Amino acid sequence: MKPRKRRDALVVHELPDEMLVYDLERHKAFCLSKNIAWIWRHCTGQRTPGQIARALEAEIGAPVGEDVMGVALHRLSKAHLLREPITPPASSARTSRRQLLRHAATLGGLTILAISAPTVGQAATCLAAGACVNSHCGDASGRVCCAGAAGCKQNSQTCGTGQTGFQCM
Amino acid sequence: MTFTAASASRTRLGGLAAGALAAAWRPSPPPLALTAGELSEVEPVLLGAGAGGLGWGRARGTGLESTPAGNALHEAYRHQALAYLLRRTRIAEVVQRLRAAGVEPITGKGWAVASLYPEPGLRPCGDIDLYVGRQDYAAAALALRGEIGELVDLHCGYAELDDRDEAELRARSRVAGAGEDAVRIFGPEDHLRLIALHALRHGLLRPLWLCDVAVALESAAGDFDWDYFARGRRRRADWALVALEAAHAILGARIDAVAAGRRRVRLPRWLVPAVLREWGAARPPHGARVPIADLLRQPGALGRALVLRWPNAIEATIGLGRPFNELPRLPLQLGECVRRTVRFSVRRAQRGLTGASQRD
Repeated sequence: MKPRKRRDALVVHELPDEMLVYDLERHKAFCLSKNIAWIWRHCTGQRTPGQIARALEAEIGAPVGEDVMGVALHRLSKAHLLREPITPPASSARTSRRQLLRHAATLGGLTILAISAPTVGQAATCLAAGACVNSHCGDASGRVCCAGAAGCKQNSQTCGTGQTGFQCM
Repeated sequence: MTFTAASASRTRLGGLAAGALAAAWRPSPPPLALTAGELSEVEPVLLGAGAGGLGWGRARGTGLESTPAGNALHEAYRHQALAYLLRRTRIAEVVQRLRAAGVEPITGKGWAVASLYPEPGLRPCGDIDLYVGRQDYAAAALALRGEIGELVDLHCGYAELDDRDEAELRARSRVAGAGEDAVRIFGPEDHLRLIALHALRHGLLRPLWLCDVAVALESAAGDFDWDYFARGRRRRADWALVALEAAHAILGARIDAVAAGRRRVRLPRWLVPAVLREWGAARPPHGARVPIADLLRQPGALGRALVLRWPNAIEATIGLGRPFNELPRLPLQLGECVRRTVRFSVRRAQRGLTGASQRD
Protein backbone atom coordinates (compact mmCIF):
# COMPACT_ATOMS: atom_id res chain seq x y z
CA MET A 1 0.00 0.00 0.00
CA LYS A 2 1.43 3.36 -1.07
CA PRO A 3 -0.73 6.21 0.29
CA ARG A 4 -1.64 9.07 -2.01
CA LYS A 5 -2.74 12.45 -0.79
CA ARG A 6 -5.90 14.00 -2.11
CA ARG A 7 -5.27 16.97 -4.37
CA ASP A 8 -8.69 18.00 -5.65
CA ALA A 9 -10.98 20.57 -4.05
CA LEU A 10 -8.54 21.51 -1.32
CA VAL A 11 -7.16 24.93 -0.43
CA VAL A 12 -3.80 24.57 1.28
CA HIS A 13 -1.90 27.22 3.15
CA GLU A 14 1.52 26.43 4.60
CA LEU A 15 2.69 28.22 7.72
CA PRO A 16 6.11 27.87 9.37
CA ASP A 17 4.91 25.39 12.02
CA GLU A 18 1.66 24.03 10.65
CA MET A 19 -0.45 23.66 7.55
CA LEU A 20 -4.01 24.83 7.03
CA VAL A 21 -6.22 22.80 4.71
CA TYR A 22 -9.74 23.67 3.64
CA ASP A 23 -11.91 20.99 2.08
CA LEU A 24 -14.06 22.67 -0.56
CA GLU A 25 -16.33 19.62 -0.86
CA ARG A 26 -17.08 19.06 2.81
CA HIS A 27 -16.53 22.67 3.90
CA LYS A 28 -14.25 21.60 6.70
CA ALA A 29 -10.98 23.16 7.73
CA PHE A 30 -8.03 21.45 9.38
CA CYS A 31 -4.80 22.50 10.94
CA LEU A 32 -2.06 19.90 10.47
CA SER A 33 0.85 19.97 12.89
CA LYS A 34 4.34 20.12 11.41
CA ASN A 35 5.14 16.40 11.27
CA ILE A 36 1.79 15.20 10.02
CA ALA A 37 1.91 17.93 7.37
CA TRP A 38 5.30 16.56 6.35
CA ILE A 39 3.87 13.05 6.13
CA TRP A 40 0.89 14.24 4.08
CA ARG A 41 3.17 16.10 1.68
CA HIS A 42 5.11 12.88 1.14
CA CYS A 43 2.06 10.70 0.41
CA THR A 44 2.76 10.80 -3.30
CA GLY A 45 1.79 7.21 -4.09
CA GLN A 46 5.47 6.39 -4.63
CA ARG A 47 6.45 5.23 -1.12
CA THR A 48 5.18 2.71 1.39
CA PRO A 49 4.39 3.84 4.97
CA GLY A 50 7.67 2.26 6.08
CA GLN A 51 9.64 4.26 3.53
CA ILE A 52 7.89 7.47 4.57
CA ALA A 53 8.61 6.67 8.22
CA ARG A 54 12.31 6.23 7.51
CA ALA A 55 12.41 9.48 5.52
CA LEU A 56 10.75 11.26 8.45
CA GLU A 57 13.26 9.72 10.86
CA ALA A 58 16.04 11.19 8.76
CA GLU A 59 14.26 14.55 8.67
CA ILE A 60 13.66 14.93 12.40
CA GLY A 61 16.47 12.80 13.79
CA ALA A 62 14.19 10.63 15.95
CA PRO A 63 12.86 7.11 15.51
CA VAL A 64 9.44 6.82 13.86
CA GLY A 65 7.94 3.37 13.94
CA GLU A 66 5.59 2.04 11.28
CA ASP A 67 2.93 1.80 13.98
CA VAL A 68 3.14 5.53 14.58
CA MET A 69 3.02 6.10 10.85
CA GLY A 70 -0.16 4.02 10.81
CA VAL A 71 -1.75 6.35 13.36
CA ALA A 72 -0.79 9.38 11.30
CA LEU A 73 -2.11 7.91 8.05
CA HIS A 74 -5.34 6.87 9.70
CA ARG A 75 -5.85 10.42 10.98
CA LEU A 76 -5.22 11.82 7.51
CA SER A 77 -7.64 9.30 6.07
CA LYS A 78 -10.33 10.14 8.61
CA ALA A 79 -10.00 13.80 7.60
CA HIS A 80 -10.53 12.73 3.95
CA LEU A 81 -7.11 14.01 2.99
CA LEU A 82 -5.99 10.72 1.38
CA ARG A 83 -7.39 9.24 -1.81
CA GLU A 84 -7.78 5.73 -0.38
CA PRO A 85 -9.07 5.02 3.12
CA ILE A 86 -6.58 3.70 5.66
CA THR A 87 -7.67 1.45 8.49
CA PRO A 88 -6.44 2.16 12.03
CA PRO A 89 -3.34 0.21 13.07
CA ALA A 90 -4.07 -2.79 15.29
CA SER A 91 -2.29 -2.68 18.63
CA SER A 92 0.26 -5.45 18.80
CA ALA A 93 1.45 -7.25 21.87
CA ARG A 94 4.53 -5.08 21.90
CA THR A 95 2.82 -1.71 21.52
CA SER A 96 -0.43 -0.69 23.13
CA ARG A 97 -2.49 2.11 21.61
CA ARG A 98 -1.62 4.31 24.58
CA GLN A 99 2.09 3.76 23.92
CA LEU A 100 1.58 4.54 20.26
CA LEU A 101 -0.05 7.85 21.05
CA ARG A 102 2.65 8.68 23.60
CA HIS A 103 5.29 7.97 20.98
CA ALA A 104 3.46 10.16 18.49
CA ALA A 105 3.37 12.96 21.06
CA THR A 106 7.13 12.79 21.56
CA LEU A 107 7.54 13.46 17.86
CA GLY A 108 6.04 16.90 18.37
CA GLY A 109 2.52 15.63 17.92
CA LEU A 110 0.77 14.20 14.92
CA THR A 111 -2.38 16.19 15.40
CA ILE A 112 -5.02 17.25 12.96
CA LEU A 113 -7.06 20.00 14.51
CA ALA A 114 -10.49 20.68 13.04
CA ILE A 115 -11.01 24.42 12.94
CA SER A 116 -14.25 26.27 12.35
CA ALA A 117 -14.66 26.72 8.63
CA PRO A 118 -14.75 30.27 7.31
CA THR A 119 -18.10 31.28 5.87
CA VAL A 120 -18.83 33.98 3.38
CA GLY A 121 -20.02 36.65 5.74
CA GLN A 122 -17.96 35.97 8.82
CA ALA A 123 -15.20 38.42 8.12
CA ALA A 124 -17.60 41.16 7.20
CA THR A 125 -19.18 43.60 9.60
CA CYS A 126 -22.65 42.13 9.08
CA LEU A 127 -23.97 38.78 10.26
CA ALA A 128 -24.12 35.84 7.91
CA ALA A 129 -27.16 33.63 7.41
CA GLY A 130 -27.70 31.54 10.48
CA ALA A 131 -26.34 34.16 12.85
CA CYS A 132 -29.33 36.46 12.42
CA VAL A 133 -31.83 35.60 15.06
CA ASN A 134 -34.67 38.07 15.27
CA SER A 135 -37.36 39.71 13.23
CA HIS A 136 -35.35 42.90 12.91
CA CYS A 137 -32.56 41.50 10.79
CA GLY A 138 -30.20 41.52 13.72
CA ASP A 139 -28.86 39.74 16.75
CA ALA A 140 -28.91 40.50 20.44
CA SER A 141 -25.66 42.46 20.33
CA GLY A 142 -27.06 45.00 17.91
CA ARG A 143 -25.30 43.83 14.75
CA VAL A 144 -27.43 43.51 11.64
CA CYS A 145 -27.64 40.65 9.18
CA CYS A 146 -26.06 40.88 5.79
CA ALA A 147 -28.59 41.66 3.09
CA GLY A 148 -29.97 38.41 1.75
CA ALA A 149 -29.29 36.53 4.98
CA ALA A 150 -32.18 34.68 6.53
CA GLY A 151 -32.81 36.52 9.76
CA CYS A 152 -36.50 37.14 9.86
CA LYS A 153 -38.99 35.23 11.94
CA GLN A 154 -41.76 35.65 9.45
CA ASN A 155 -42.07 32.86 6.92
CA SER A 156 -38.89 32.44 4.95
CA GLN A 157 -38.16 36.10 4.42
CA THR A 158 -34.66 37.43 4.24
CA CYS A 159 -33.06 40.72 5.17
CA GLY A 160 -32.59 43.42 2.59
CA THR A 161 -32.95 47.07 1.81
CA GLY A 162 -36.57 47.84 1.07
CA GLN A 163 -38.67 50.98 0.94
CA THR A 164 -38.63 51.39 4.70
CA GLY A 165 -34.95 50.78 5.09
CA PHE A 166 -33.20 47.59 6.11
CA GLN A 167 -36.01 45.15 6.73
CA CYS A 168 -37.39 41.66 6.43
CA MET A 169 -38.46 41.15 2.84
CA MET B 1 -19.32 52.36 38.71
CA THR B 2 -19.37 56.11 38.11
CA PHE B 3 -19.27 57.54 34.60
CA THR B 4 -15.72 58.78 35.15
CA ALA B 5 -14.51 55.42 36.45
CA ALA B 6 -16.19 53.61 33.55
CA SER B 7 -14.60 56.00 31.10
CA ALA B 8 -11.16 55.51 32.68
CA SER B 9 -11.62 51.75 32.54
CA ARG B 10 -12.52 51.89 28.85
CA THR B 11 -9.54 54.13 28.12
CA ARG B 12 -7.23 51.68 29.90
CA LEU B 13 -8.64 48.76 27.91
CA GLY B 14 -8.29 50.74 24.69
CA GLY B 15 -4.69 51.45 25.67
CA LEU B 16 -4.05 47.73 26.09
CA ALA B 17 -5.53 47.13 22.63
CA ALA B 18 -3.27 49.83 21.18
CA GLY B 19 -0.28 48.22 22.92
CA ALA B 20 -1.22 44.81 21.53
CA LEU B 21 -1.54 46.13 17.99
CA ALA B 22 1.45 48.45 17.84
CA ALA B 23 3.50 47.55 14.75
CA ALA B 24 1.49 44.31 14.40
CA TRP B 25 1.28 44.87 10.63
CA ARG B 26 5.05 44.59 10.15
CA PRO B 27 6.73 41.35 8.98
CA SER B 28 8.71 41.13 12.25
CA PRO B 29 6.81 43.00 14.93
CA PRO B 30 8.35 43.45 18.36
CA PRO B 31 7.25 40.81 20.88
CA LEU B 32 4.11 41.60 22.81
CA ALA B 33 4.79 43.19 26.17
CA LEU B 34 1.53 42.30 27.91
CA THR B 35 1.04 39.92 30.82
CA ALA B 36 -1.16 36.86 30.39
CA GLY B 37 -3.82 38.62 32.45
CA GLU B 38 -3.74 41.73 30.28
CA LEU B 39 -3.90 39.64 27.12
CA SER B 40 -6.89 37.80 28.50
CA GLU B 41 -8.53 41.16 29.25
CA VAL B 42 -7.92 42.60 25.81
CA GLU B 43 -8.60 39.43 23.78
CA PRO B 44 -12.39 40.00 23.44
CA VAL B 45 -11.73 43.56 22.25
CA LEU B 46 -9.28 42.33 19.62
CA LEU B 47 -11.53 39.51 18.44
CA GLY B 48 -14.59 41.76 18.36
CA ALA B 49 -12.73 44.29 16.26
CA GLY B 50 -11.44 41.74 13.75
CA ALA B 51 -7.92 42.26 15.08
CA GLY B 52 -7.44 38.76 16.52
CA GLY B 53 -5.02 37.77 13.76
CA LEU B 54 -2.92 40.87 14.35
CA GLY B 55 -2.97 40.13 18.07
CA TRP B 56 -1.68 36.64 17.30
CA GLY B 57 1.08 38.15 15.16
CA ARG B 58 2.34 39.90 18.30
CA ALA B 59 1.66 37.09 20.77
CA ARG B 60 3.35 34.21 18.94
CA GLY B 61 6.79 33.34 20.17
CA THR B 62 6.30 35.21 23.45
CA GLY B 63 5.17 32.36 25.67
CA LEU B 64 1.64 33.75 25.59
CA GLU B 65 0.60 31.55 22.68
CA SER B 66 -0.38 28.66 24.90
CA THR B 67 -2.67 30.74 27.14
CA PRO B 68 -6.44 30.53 26.47
CA ALA B 69 -6.34 34.05 25.04
CA GLY B 70 -3.37 33.13 22.87
CA ASN B 71 -5.22 30.06 21.58
CA ALA B 72 -8.27 32.18 20.72
CA LEU B 73 -6.13 34.65 18.79
CA HIS B 74 -4.36 31.79 17.01
CA GLU B 75 -7.71 30.35 15.97
CA ALA B 76 -8.74 33.74 14.57
CA TYR B 77 -5.47 33.91 12.64
CA ARG B 78 -5.93 30.44 11.11
CA HIS B 79 -9.50 31.21 10.26
CA GLN B 80 -8.65 34.48 8.59
CA ALA B 81 -5.77 32.93 6.63
CA LEU B 82 -8.08 30.39 5.06
CA ALA B 83 -10.85 32.92 4.52
CA TYR B 84 -8.39 35.18 2.70
CA LEU B 85 -7.40 32.42 0.28
CA LEU B 86 -11.01 31.43 -0.33
CA ARG B 87 -12.04 35.04 -0.84
CA ARG B 88 -9.34 35.62 -3.45
CA THR B 89 -10.97 33.09 -5.75
CA ARG B 90 -14.41 34.57 -5.10
CA ILE B 91 -13.27 38.11 -5.92
CA ALA B 92 -11.91 36.99 -9.26
CA GLU B 93 -15.29 35.38 -10.06
CA VAL B 94 -17.22 38.50 -9.11
CA VAL B 95 -14.93 40.78 -11.08
CA GLN B 96 -15.23 38.53 -14.12
CA ARG B 97 -19.02 38.77 -13.97
CA LEU B 98 -18.71 42.54 -14.02
CA ARG B 99 -16.25 42.47 -16.89
CA ALA B 100 -18.65 40.32 -18.85
CA ALA B 101 -21.20 43.11 -18.34
CA GLY B 102 -18.69 45.65 -19.65
CA VAL B 103 -17.86 47.15 -16.23
CA GLU B 104 -14.34 47.33 -14.82
CA PRO B 105 -14.57 47.85 -11.05
CA ILE B 106 -11.84 49.12 -8.75
CA THR B 107 -11.38 47.26 -5.48
CA GLY B 108 -10.62 49.04 -2.23
CA LYS B 109 -10.58 48.54 1.55
CA GLY B 110 -11.42 44.99 2.80
CA TRP B 111 -9.63 42.39 0.74
CA ALA B 112 -7.51 44.99 -1.09
CA VAL B 113 -6.07 46.31 2.16
CA ALA B 114 -5.71 42.79 3.60
CA SER B 115 -3.33 42.07 0.73
CA LEU B 116 -1.01 44.82 2.00
CA TYR B 117 -0.30 42.88 5.18
CA PRO B 118 2.77 40.63 5.17
CA GLU B 119 0.80 37.38 5.51
CA PRO B 120 -2.77 36.22 5.04
CA GLY B 121 -4.40 35.69 8.40
CA LEU B 122 -3.36 38.92 10.03
CA ARG B 123 -6.41 40.80 8.80
CA PRO B 124 -9.92 39.57 8.03
CA CYS B 125 -10.67 40.14 4.36
CA GLY B 126 -14.11 41.56 5.03
CA ASP B 127 -16.55 42.51 2.31
CA ILE B 128 -15.51 42.80 -1.30
CA ASP B 129 -15.72 46.56 -1.80
CA LEU B 130 -16.12 47.31 -5.48
CA TYR B 131 -16.26 50.87 -6.81
CA VAL B 132 -17.82 51.68 -10.16
CA GLY B 133 -18.65 54.97 -11.85
CA ARG B 134 -22.22 56.23 -11.42
CA GLN B 135 -22.87 55.64 -15.11
CA ASP B 136 -21.98 51.95 -14.70
CA TYR B 137 -23.79 51.28 -11.44
CA ALA B 138 -27.08 50.00 -12.88
CA ALA B 139 -25.32 47.52 -15.19
CA ALA B 140 -23.03 46.41 -12.36
CA ALA B 141 -25.90 45.92 -9.91
CA LEU B 142 -27.76 43.86 -12.49
CA ALA B 143 -24.73 41.70 -13.18
CA LEU B 144 -24.20 41.06 -9.47
CA ARG B 145 -27.80 40.59 -8.38
CA GLY B 146 -27.90 38.06 -5.59
CA GLU B 147 -24.33 38.85 -4.54
CA ILE B 148 -24.71 42.40 -3.30
CA GLY B 149 -25.00 42.74 0.44
CA GLU B 150 -23.74 39.49 1.88
CA LEU B 151 -20.44 39.38 0.10
CA VAL B 152 -20.15 42.35 -2.20
CA ASP B 153 -20.42 45.99 -1.28
CA LEU B 154 -20.99 47.69 -4.62
CA HIS B 155 -20.34 51.44 -4.40
CA CYS B 156 -22.03 53.84 -6.79
CA GLY B 157 -19.21 56.31 -7.41
CA TYR B 158 -16.01 56.57 -5.45
CA ALA B 159 -17.24 57.45 -1.94
CA GLU B 160 -14.58 59.46 -0.07
CA LEU B 161 -12.65 59.85 -3.32
CA ASP B 162 -15.44 61.68 -5.13
CA ASP B 163 -13.36 64.87 -5.14
CA ARG B 164 -11.00 63.08 -7.55
CA ASP B 165 -11.30 62.89 -11.31
CA GLU B 166 -12.57 59.43 -12.30
CA ALA B 167 -10.21 59.20 -15.27
CA GLU B 168 -7.25 59.93 -13.00
CA LEU B 169 -8.43 57.42 -10.40
CA ARG B 170 -8.52 54.79 -13.11
CA ALA B 171 -5.21 55.83 -14.63
CA ARG B 172 -3.53 55.56 -11.22
CA SER B 173 -5.17 52.25 -10.29
CA ARG B 174 -3.08 49.08 -10.42
CA VAL B 175 -3.73 45.50 -11.38
CA ALA B 176 -3.07 42.83 -8.77
CA GLY B 177 -2.78 39.21 -9.88
CA ALA B 178 -2.62 37.94 -13.41
CA GLY B 179 -4.86 36.46 -16.09
CA GLU B 180 -8.34 35.59 -14.90
CA ASP B 181 -7.37 36.42 -11.32
CA ALA B 182 -6.39 39.99 -12.17
CA VAL B 183 -8.19 42.54 -10.04
CA ARG B 184 -7.88 46.31 -10.31
CA ILE B 185 -7.17 48.09 -7.04
CA PHE B 186 -6.85 51.79 -6.24
CA GLY B 187 -3.45 53.37 -6.67
CA PRO B 188 -1.53 53.65 -3.37
CA GLU B 189 -2.19 57.37 -2.91
CA ASP B 190 -5.93 57.01 -3.50
CA HIS B 191 -6.14 53.87 -1.40
CA LEU B 192 -4.39 55.43 1.58
CA ARG B 193 -6.67 58.44 1.35
CA LEU B 194 -9.76 56.23 1.06
CA ILE B 195 -8.77 54.07 4.02
CA ALA B 196 -7.90 57.10 6.16
CA LEU B 197 -11.14 58.97 5.42
CA HIS B 198 -13.29 55.87 5.82
CA ALA B 199 -11.76 55.16 9.23
CA LEU B 200 -12.39 58.71 10.39
CA ARG B 201 -15.94 58.80 9.02
CA HIS B 202 -16.69 55.84 11.27
CA GLY B 203 -15.06 57.56 14.24
CA LEU B 204 -12.03 55.20 14.29
CA LEU B 205 -14.34 52.79 16.11
CA ARG B 206 -12.37 49.70 15.15
CA PRO B 207 -8.65 49.47 15.89
CA LEU B 208 -8.31 47.40 12.75
CA TRP B 209 -9.00 50.46 10.61
CA LEU B 210 -6.14 52.40 12.14
CA CYS B 211 -3.87 49.38 11.53
CA ASP B 212 -5.02 49.58 7.90
CA VAL B 213 -3.96 53.21 7.75
CA ALA B 214 -0.63 52.24 9.31
CA VAL B 215 0.09 49.39 6.89
CA ALA B 216 -0.86 51.49 3.86
CA LEU B 217 1.25 54.38 5.16
CA GLU B 218 4.29 52.17 5.70
CA SER B 219 3.74 50.51 2.30
CA ALA B 220 4.19 53.90 0.61
CA ALA B 221 7.16 53.44 -1.68
CA GLY B 222 9.67 56.06 -2.70
CA ASP B 223 7.57 57.04 -5.71
CA PHE B 224 4.47 57.69 -3.59
CA ASP B 225 3.08 60.98 -4.85
CA TRP B 226 2.36 63.00 -1.69
CA ASP B 227 1.33 66.02 -3.77
CA TYR B 228 -1.39 63.96 -5.39
CA PHE B 229 -2.37 62.45 -2.02
CA ALA B 230 -3.01 65.97 -0.70
CA ARG B 231 -4.85 67.12 -3.84
CA GLY B 232 -8.62 67.61 -3.87
CA ARG B 233 -10.62 69.28 -1.16
CA ARG B 234 -8.24 70.85 1.32
CA ARG B 235 -10.28 69.85 4.37
CA ARG B 236 -10.44 66.22 3.28
CA ALA B 237 -6.70 66.21 2.73
CA ASP B 238 -6.24 67.59 6.25
CA TRP B 239 -8.55 64.91 7.64
CA ALA B 240 -6.56 62.20 5.88
CA LEU B 241 -3.38 63.62 7.41
CA VAL B 242 -5.07 63.51 10.83
CA ALA B 243 -5.63 59.77 10.37
CA LEU B 244 -1.94 59.28 9.52
CA GLU B 245 -0.90 61.25 12.59
CA ALA B 246 -3.29 59.20 14.72
CA ALA B 247 -1.81 55.95 13.40
CA HIS B 248 1.62 57.31 14.32
CA ALA B 249 0.62 58.52 17.78
CA ILE B 250 -1.50 55.54 18.81
CA LEU B 251 0.08 52.58 17.04
CA GLY B 252 3.58 53.80 16.33
CA ALA B 253 3.24 53.84 12.53
CA ARG B 254 6.34 55.24 10.83
CA ILE B 255 5.39 58.59 9.41
CA ASP B 256 8.81 59.78 8.28
CA ALA B 257 7.83 59.07 4.66
CA VAL B 258 5.61 62.12 4.92
CA ALA B 259 7.93 65.08 4.42
CA ALA B 260 8.02 67.45 7.39
CA GLY B 261 6.55 70.27 5.33
CA ARG B 262 3.47 68.19 4.59
CA ARG B 263 2.79 67.26 8.20
CA ARG B 264 0.74 70.40 8.51
CA VAL B 265 -1.87 69.08 10.92
CA ARG B 266 -1.44 68.61 14.64
CA LEU B 267 -3.53 66.12 16.56
CA PRO B 268 -5.90 67.83 18.97
CA ARG B 269 -5.35 66.73 22.56
CA TRP B 270 -8.78 65.14 22.85
CA LEU B 271 -8.32 62.78 19.91
CA VAL B 272 -6.09 60.03 21.29
CA PRO B 273 -8.09 59.61 24.55
CA ALA B 274 -11.31 59.62 22.51
CA VAL B 275 -10.01 56.82 20.29
CA LEU B 276 -8.78 54.70 23.20
CA ARG B 277 -12.10 55.14 24.97
CA GLU B 278 -13.92 53.93 21.86
CA TRP B 279 -11.69 50.91 21.50
CA GLY B 280 -12.27 50.00 25.12
CA ALA B 281 -16.03 50.40 24.69
CA ALA B 282 -16.04 48.16 21.57
CA ARG B 283 -19.23 49.66 20.10
CA PRO B 284 -20.46 48.12 16.84
CA PRO B 285 -19.80 50.42 13.89
CA HIS B 286 -22.43 51.96 11.64
CA GLY B 287 -23.72 49.34 9.23
CA ALA B 288 -23.47 46.65 11.89
CA ARG B 289 -26.34 47.85 14.04
CA VAL B 290 -30.05 47.17 14.06
CA PRO B 291 -31.68 49.98 12.04
CA ILE B 292 -33.27 52.57 14.28
CA ALA B 293 -36.52 52.38 12.29
CA ASP B 294 -36.88 48.76 13.38
CA LEU B 295 -36.49 49.70 17.04
CA LEU B 296 -39.06 52.49 17.21
CA ARG B 297 -41.68 50.09 18.51
CA GLN B 298 -39.40 48.80 21.31
CA PRO B 299 -38.85 51.62 23.82
CA GLY B 300 -36.34 49.64 25.92
CA ALA B 301 -34.23 48.67 22.95
CA LEU B 302 -34.50 52.19 21.55
CA GLY B 303 -32.73 53.70 24.56
CA ARG B 304 -29.79 51.32 24.21
CA ALA B 305 -29.72 51.87 20.47
CA LEU B 306 -29.45 55.63 20.93
CA VAL B 307 -26.50 55.20 23.31
CA LEU B 308 -24.84 53.00 20.68
CA ARG B 309 -25.38 55.75 18.12
CA TRP B 310 -24.12 58.70 20.12
CA PRO B 311 -21.54 60.14 17.69
CA ASN B 312 -18.04 60.28 19.07
CA ALA B 313 -16.02 63.45 18.65
CA ILE B 314 -14.38 62.20 15.44
CA GLU B 315 -17.61 61.14 13.75
CA ALA B 316 -19.20 64.47 14.70
CA THR B 317 -16.26 66.44 13.30
CA ILE B 318 -16.41 64.60 9.98
CA GLY B 319 -20.21 64.51 9.84
CA LEU B 320 -20.44 68.28 10.15
CA GLY B 321 -17.42 68.90 7.92
CA ARG B 322 -15.43 70.68 10.64
CA PRO B 323 -11.67 70.86 11.19
CA PHE B 324 -9.85 68.87 13.87
CA ASN B 325 -8.80 71.48 16.42
CA GLU B 326 -8.80 72.12 20.14
CA LEU B 327 -12.30 73.59 20.28
CA PRO B 328 -14.80 71.59 22.37
CA ARG B 329 -16.48 68.76 20.50
CA LEU B 330 -19.70 68.53 22.51
CA PRO B 331 -21.50 71.17 20.42
CA LEU B 332 -20.49 69.25 17.30
CA GLN B 333 -21.71 65.97 18.78
CA LEU B 334 -25.06 67.57 19.61
CA GLY B 335 -25.17 69.14 16.14
CA GLU B 336 -24.42 65.77 14.54
CA CYS B 337 -27.26 64.20 16.52
CA VAL B 338 -29.63 66.88 15.21
CA ARG B 339 -28.36 66.40 11.66
CA ARG B 340 -28.87 62.64 11.83
CA THR B 341 -32.33 63.01 13.38
CA VAL B 342 -33.41 65.46 10.67
CA ARG B 343 -32.03 63.20 7.96
CA PHE B 344 -33.74 60.18 9.46
CA SER B 345 -37.08 62.04 9.77
CA VAL B 346 -36.92 63.31 6.20
CA ARG B 347 -36.22 59.81 4.90
CA ARG B 348 -39.09 58.38 6.94
CA ALA B 349 -41.42 61.06 5.63
CA GLN B 350 -40.33 60.46 2.04
CA ARG B 351 -40.85 56.72 2.39
CA GLY B 352 -44.23 57.33 3.97
CA LEU B 353 -45.26 59.51 1.03
CA THR B 354 -44.00 56.93 -1.45
CA GLY B 355 -45.90 54.19 0.36
CA ALA B 356 -49.08 56.27 0.44
CA SER B 357 -48.90 57.08 -3.26
CA GLN B 358 -48.38 53.40 -4.07
CA ARG B 359 -51.41 52.45 -1.97
CA ASP B 360 -53.47 55.09 -3.80
